[in-house]
Amino acid sequence: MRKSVDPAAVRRLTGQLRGIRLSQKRAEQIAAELARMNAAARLEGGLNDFNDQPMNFGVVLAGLAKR
Amino acid sequence: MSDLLKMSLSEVAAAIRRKRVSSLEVTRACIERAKAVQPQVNCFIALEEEEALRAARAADRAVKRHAKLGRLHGVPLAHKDMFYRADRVCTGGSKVLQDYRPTDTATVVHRLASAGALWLGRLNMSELAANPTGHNPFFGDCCNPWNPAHITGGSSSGSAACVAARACFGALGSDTGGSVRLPAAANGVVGLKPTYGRVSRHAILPRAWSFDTVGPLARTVRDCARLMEVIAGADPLDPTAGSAPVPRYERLLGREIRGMKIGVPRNHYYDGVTTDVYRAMQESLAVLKFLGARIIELDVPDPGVAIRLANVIGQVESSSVCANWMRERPQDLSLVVRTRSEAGFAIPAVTYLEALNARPRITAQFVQSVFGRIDALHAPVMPMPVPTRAETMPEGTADIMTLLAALTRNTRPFNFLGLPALSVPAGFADNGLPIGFQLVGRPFGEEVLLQIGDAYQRETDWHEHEPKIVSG
Repeated sequence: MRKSVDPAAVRRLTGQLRGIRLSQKRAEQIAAELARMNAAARLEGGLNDFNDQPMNFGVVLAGLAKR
Repeated sequence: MSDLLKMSLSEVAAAIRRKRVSSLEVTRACIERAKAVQPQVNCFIALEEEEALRAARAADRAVKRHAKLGRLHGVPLAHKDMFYRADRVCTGGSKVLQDYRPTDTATVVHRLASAGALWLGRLNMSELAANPTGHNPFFGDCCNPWNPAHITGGSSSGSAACVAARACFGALGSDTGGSVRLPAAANGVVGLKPTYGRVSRHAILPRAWSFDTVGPLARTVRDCARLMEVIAGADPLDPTAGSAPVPRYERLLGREIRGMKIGVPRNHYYDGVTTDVYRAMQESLAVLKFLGARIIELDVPDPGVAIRLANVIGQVESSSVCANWMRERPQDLSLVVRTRSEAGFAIPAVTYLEALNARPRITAQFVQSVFGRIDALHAPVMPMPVPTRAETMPEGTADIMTLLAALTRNTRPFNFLGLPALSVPAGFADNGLPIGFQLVGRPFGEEVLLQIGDAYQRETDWHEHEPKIVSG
């Protein structure tokens, strides 16, 4: 599931879209981190339902409070 | 040190109410103490002496004229410098906010004031609440009162250090990944991270909206219960603040915990634990067993999933909070804040929303599988003794992420899950620094954690130990 992320792509993305300049070394660190995070989100996202929405979290917590 | 400062928050509040001591005497003692410890501990960003003394005199006049008194009447508190007061400087521990004057006052600040609490000053913290060590390059590191060579933990560093040093009776902190529990454990005080949505976050400095919680730190569980009762509850100014009624936490204390089921996780939370921390955990469990609790070992859902998704959400949200500073004045942010803010800019929005959407399902699975079997989960706050400041001074960006992961591995999962967690002092490591365990409960189950923690503190005296800096 985990796919590598190209550090050069990370540099271009943060530079062109956000104006954040990264060193090559830092871009490599972020790329590795991004690959891990993206893989986890895609894996869990695959179990999501199209009706899910982030604002439901508070409602779910309140429901789980009941014994 | 004045004997007045040996009292707990609840005790001093009762003493003021019964005119055994005046708020002015207590406040003066706190100010004297704060000035004495500040050179070594650096827990204050600003000590607001004159205003605190004026407020104490007013509190004493109210006692004399038999006015209706709040539950914190005349008690000096101090807070992490991230709770806004209209038109008053609030720095967030950062150079970028050194002159920031918000236009609104935090709901929790209003509520504490309504209960009669005094405001002693603004406390040190990790810059922009972004660092679990408590380091602060702009205002100077807050140092551990048990040994200033060691970290306080963060980001509510000043809150825990000030309470531990007996310079105030209680403090507010915030917990986004462990920022109340880590410093509470490292300084030998009690800290409560409430359920997400239990306490209003209106007019506080944000770190990551999906995880930010406001919680009290104090010397005893009872004191935290009282503070929670004052600050918790719905707030029309914060849509995430839940409307569930606030229990009378303090009144529920003192009950037996016989028959309660306390779970000990077999996986993750003891990975790499040191011998001294393990021993402290076993001893605390033995106390709880002696009090009649049933100790049940169990496997819990893999916290690795929660940590990875928390990274996605936290990085995006904190990058968004810091976006303008990153663009316009990155030189005014520390290496830690800059490093932690960079990755969020490269995470796709869909990835972020997938992580957020998975959160309710993962939380429901966790609560059903764990709290269907037990009343509270027990685990070390940190698997290792409190490290030194030198050991945790990052030399490069790779160090920062490794350090963050190591310090917060046992706390962050519960921010993702939104669950309440109480950090309780449980003895001392071989290096002489405090150790804490955390009790984790089901959503809005703070009263169970407080009940267990209070029972533990009535049987032990770890919370009564004073750091050397106090006795010396």
